[in-house]
Amino acid sequence: MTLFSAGLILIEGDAGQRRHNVFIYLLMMHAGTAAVIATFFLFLPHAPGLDFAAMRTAAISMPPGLRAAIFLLAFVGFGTKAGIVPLHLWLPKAHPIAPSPVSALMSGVMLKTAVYGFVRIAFDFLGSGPAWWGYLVLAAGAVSGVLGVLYAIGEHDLKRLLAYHSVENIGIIYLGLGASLVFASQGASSWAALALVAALLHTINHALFKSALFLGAGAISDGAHTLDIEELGGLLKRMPVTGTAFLIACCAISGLPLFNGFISEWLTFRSFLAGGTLADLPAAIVLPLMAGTLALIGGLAAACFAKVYGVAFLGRARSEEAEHAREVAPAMQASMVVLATACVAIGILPGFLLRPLGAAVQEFVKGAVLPVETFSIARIMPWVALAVVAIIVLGRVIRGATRVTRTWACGMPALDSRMQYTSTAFSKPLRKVFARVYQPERHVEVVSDTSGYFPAAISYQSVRTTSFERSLYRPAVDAIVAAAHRLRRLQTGNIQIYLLYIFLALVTLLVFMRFL
Amino acid sequence: MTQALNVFQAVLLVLIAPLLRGVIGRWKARIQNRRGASVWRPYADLLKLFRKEDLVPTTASGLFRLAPVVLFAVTVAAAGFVPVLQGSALLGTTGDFILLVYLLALGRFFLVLGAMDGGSSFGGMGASREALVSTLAEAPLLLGLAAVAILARTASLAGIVQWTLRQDFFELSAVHALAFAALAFVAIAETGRIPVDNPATHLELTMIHEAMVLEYSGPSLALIEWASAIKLSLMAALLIAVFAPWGMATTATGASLAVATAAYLAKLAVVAAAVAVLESSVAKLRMYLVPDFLGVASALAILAVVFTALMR
Amino acid sequence: MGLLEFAAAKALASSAVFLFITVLLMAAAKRISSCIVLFSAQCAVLVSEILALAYVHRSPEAYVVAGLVFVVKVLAIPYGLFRIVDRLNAPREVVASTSSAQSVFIAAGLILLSFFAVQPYVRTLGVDEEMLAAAVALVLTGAFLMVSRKKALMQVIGLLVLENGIFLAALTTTFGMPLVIEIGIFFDLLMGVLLMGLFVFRIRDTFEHLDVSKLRKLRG
Repeated sequence: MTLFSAGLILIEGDAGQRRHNVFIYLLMMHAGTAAVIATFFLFLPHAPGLDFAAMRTAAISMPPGLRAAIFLLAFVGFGTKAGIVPLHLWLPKAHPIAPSPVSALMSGVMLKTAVYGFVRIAFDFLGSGPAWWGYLVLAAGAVSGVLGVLYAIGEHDLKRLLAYHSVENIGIIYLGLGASLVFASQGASSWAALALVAALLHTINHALFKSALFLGAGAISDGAHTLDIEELGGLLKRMPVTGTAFLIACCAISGLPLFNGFISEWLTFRSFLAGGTLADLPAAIVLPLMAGTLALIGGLAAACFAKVYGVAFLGRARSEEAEHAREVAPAMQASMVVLATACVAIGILPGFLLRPLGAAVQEFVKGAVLPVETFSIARIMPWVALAVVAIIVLGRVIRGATRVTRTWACGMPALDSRMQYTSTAFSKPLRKVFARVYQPERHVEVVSDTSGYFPAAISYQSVRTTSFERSLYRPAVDAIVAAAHRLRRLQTGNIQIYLLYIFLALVTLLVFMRFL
Repeated sequence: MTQALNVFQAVLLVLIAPLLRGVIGRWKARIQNRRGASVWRPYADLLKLFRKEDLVPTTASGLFRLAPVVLFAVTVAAAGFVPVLQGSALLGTTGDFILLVYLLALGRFFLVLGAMDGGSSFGGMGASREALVSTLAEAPLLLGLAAVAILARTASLAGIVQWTLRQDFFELSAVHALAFAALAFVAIAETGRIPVDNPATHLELTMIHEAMVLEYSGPSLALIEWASAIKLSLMAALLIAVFAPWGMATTATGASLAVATAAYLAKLAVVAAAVAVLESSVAKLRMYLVPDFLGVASALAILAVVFTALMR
Repeated sequence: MGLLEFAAAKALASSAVFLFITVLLMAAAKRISSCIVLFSAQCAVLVSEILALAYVHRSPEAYVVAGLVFVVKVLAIPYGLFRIVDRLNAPREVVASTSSAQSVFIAAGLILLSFFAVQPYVRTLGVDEEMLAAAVALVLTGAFLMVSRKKALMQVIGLLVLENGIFLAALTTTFGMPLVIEIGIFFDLLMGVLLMGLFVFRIRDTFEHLDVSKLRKLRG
C-alpha cells in the first residue's frame, strides 16, 4: 500500500522537495510497519498459527506486562500510519504532493486501514485492558485534534490544509476509541459500544467528505490552475457544480447538522456525557472535559472551512487564473456530486448505517447492547431537516424584487479584489490567540531612502515552522546519526579484525551455551 | 394537547423576539436618561424591510441570498428545542442541546459565508472576528450545559427541566452557580451584546455582527435581524429553562397555562432588565480582550464539570 | 422546621458555594473597587455563617464575634480602603502579571487543589468537607493575589483574604477561637490596614508610583 502510493506520488515528477517528502513518507511508514510486525512477533510464541481466533484465545492468558507491550507497540505502529501527533510528520508532506485522486484515496482509505488495524488488535484480540490504555488514546486524540486544526488554520495551500484536517479527524476518531476503552475498563459495555460506533461512523464519514474535498481540490487545480487559495476567489459563479459539492463537503467536515459529520460527533458527545455518570472519579472528570475539547476542535474546524470556502469560492477573483476558471469535465463533477449526496443522505437518515455498525460492534465489545438512545438522533434528524428545508423553501418562494448594485465602498469609486480579506487576514485573530502553539518568527526589513525619513521599501516575512520538527524530530535524528558515527569505528577495513569479530562471536556463543 | 402547546411555545419564542429587543432598547434608553423608541419599533422595522427591494452586489453568487434564509430557517428550527411553558419541547429528544448548539453554528457558518460573498473588506472583517468569538464560545456553552445535564443524570433539555422542577428552590449547588455564570458569559458573546459586541454601532473599529450584514438590505436584512432577535430570545429561554424553570405547567389545565405564561413573561422581564443594566454600565471590550472574557467562561464551565464529580 | 432553623441550615449549606464564587470573581476582577466590594461580600458570607453556627450551638459569645466581624470587616476596613483609593487618585485598574482568564484558571486549580488537600482531614476531624476546602481555597487565593498583583493595595486585599481563610478554618474545626484572641486578631488587622494606608502615601510620594515590582531597585 505504501509502495504503491509512493509510486503514484512520483508519477507527477521527483524534483528535489518532492523526493525529500516521499523519502520521509517511506521512512516513517517503514518504522510504523516495524512496530506492527513486532506486535505480531510478540504473539508468535503463544499463537503459532497467527490466525485471529488463536490470537484471541492466547491474549486472554497472557501476563499483563506482555499485553501492555503489545498494546503500546500497536498504538505506536498503527498510530504512525494513521497520523496521530507527534507521529504525523509525514502526513502534510506526502498527501499534498500526490495527484488529487491519490490524495483522496490516501486520506480517505489508507489512514482508515491503520485505524482498523488498531481496533482489531486493541479491541478484538486484547479485549478490555486497564484504564490507562483509554487515557493514552484519549490524550493522543485530543492533542492530534487540536494541533491538527490549529496548524490547518494557518495554511493557505489547499491540499496541505486538507492534510492537516486529516490529522484532526483521526484525532476525533481516537477520542471515540479512547472513550470506548475507558468505558470497557470500567465495565460499562453499552457505552463502550456507543463510543466505538461513534468512532467507526466517523471513519466512514471522514472517508466520504475528505475524498469529496480532495476531489474538489483537484477540480480547482484543473479549472483554475492553482491551489493557493490566496490566488482564488469567486469560483462559485464560474464552477457552480464544484462549488456546491465543495460547500456540502465543507459543511460536513465542520460537523454541522444535516450533514454526516454531525452524526458521528453527536454520538461521540453523547458517550462523553455518559462518562460523567461513571462511579470512577478520574473517568467521570476526564470524559466530560474531552467533550469540551471536541467542541473546541469542531469550532476551529468550522472557522477554518468558512475561511477556505469564503476566500476561494466567494467574493471577487484575486488573479487572472481564477478570473478565467472553467467548470471541469462531467466525470469529475459526477464523482464529487455522488460523494456530496452521500454526505447529505447519511446526515439526514443515519439510521441505515447505525444499525449494521451496531451489529458489527457487538463482536468487538463483549456482551454489549447499544443504549436505547443511540437511535434518537436518527429519529429526530429527518424532522429537523424537514423543518429547516420547509422554511428555506418558503423563504425562496416569497421573493420580492431584486436589484443588482455595486458593493458599498464608503463612497470611493470602486473596489478591487485586493481589498477583500485574504486567508491570512481571516485567520489572524485565531493565530494571535493561539500564538503559543504557532510560535511565529517575523522578519521585517526596512530600506530607507536618501532623506532617511521615509522607507523606500519594506519587506515582511512571517515564518511558521511546525514546532515538532524542531523540538522532537531534529534531536532524535541527530542522536541516531551521532550513534551511527560512533558505530562506524567497527568498520576498520582490516580483514583480520573482521575475522576476529567472527572468532569472538563463536567464543561468546560457546560460553553462553555452556552456562545456559 | 401537549403537542399543540409545544408548537405554541416555539411560535411564541419566534414572535416575541422583536418585542424583547424593543423592551431592552427602551429600558436602556431610560437608564441613559433618554426617552427611547417604542417597544414595538422592531416589528415596524421588520415590516418596513420586508416591503423594500433586495440589493445584491455584483460580485455575489447565489449563496448571498441563500444565507439569510438558511440562518432564519435554522434559528426557527432551533426554537423548537427549548421548553418554555411546559417541561417538553417540539423537537426535544435525548442529546438535543448538542443539536441546538450546532444548529446555531450552521446558521452562523452561512452568515459568515454570505458576508464574504459581498466582496468588501467589511464583510471579511466581520466574518473573521465572528469566527474568533464563536470558536471560543462553543466549548464553554457545551460544557456548561453538559455540567447541568450530568448533574441531572439526563441528556435532554426537557429532562433537565423536569429534574430541576423536582429540586428544592433553595438548593444552591456550586455546579449550578458556576454553570450559570459560564452560560451567562457565553450568552452575551453568542447574541452579540455589550461587552462583546455593540449591536447598535457602525464604526468599523467596533463592529462584529453588524460588519457581516453591512451589504444586506430589504427582506434579506429583515430575516437576519429577526434571526438575531430570535437567538437572543432563545438564549434567554434556555437560561430560564435550565436554571429557573419553576412555574412551568405540569398539567394541561388552563389555569396552569396562564401561570406558566405569566411566570415566563416575568422571568423574561428580569432578563431584559439585567441586559439593559449590563449594557449601560459596562464598556465594550477591546477585541483581543474578548478571548480573555471567554477564557474566564471556559474556566468556570470546566470547574462546573469537575464539581459534578467532586460534590456527589 | 422553624424559619430560623431553616435559614441557619441553608446558610451553612450554601456559604461554601458563595465563597468559591467570590474567590473566582476576585481572580477575574479588573478594578480595585470590585475587589474591595467582593471582599466585603466575602466577609458578609462569613458573618452569616457565624450567626448560623451561633444559633445552632446556642452560644451568645458567637453573636458578639459576628457583630465584631460585621463592623470591622464588612464596614470599617472596606470603607477605609475606599477612602485610600479615592485619595490616591491613581488609576483604578488591577495591574497583574497574569491575565483575567489565566487568573481564573489558576484560582479554579487552587480550589480543586484545596478539595484534594483536605480529604484526609475530613474523616479524622469530622468537619464539613466543603467548608474546610473553602477555607484552604481562601488562603491559597489570598496568597496568589499577593503574588500576582502588582499594586500595593492589592497586596493588602490579598492579605485580608488570607486572614479570612484562616479565620474560616478555625471556625469549622474548633467553632471559633476564644473571644480574647478574636479581638486581638481584629485589632491586628485594623492596625495593619491603617499602617498600610499611611505607608501607601509615603511610597507614592517618594517613588511617584505604587508598582510593587519596581521596588526591586532596593537591592544591595
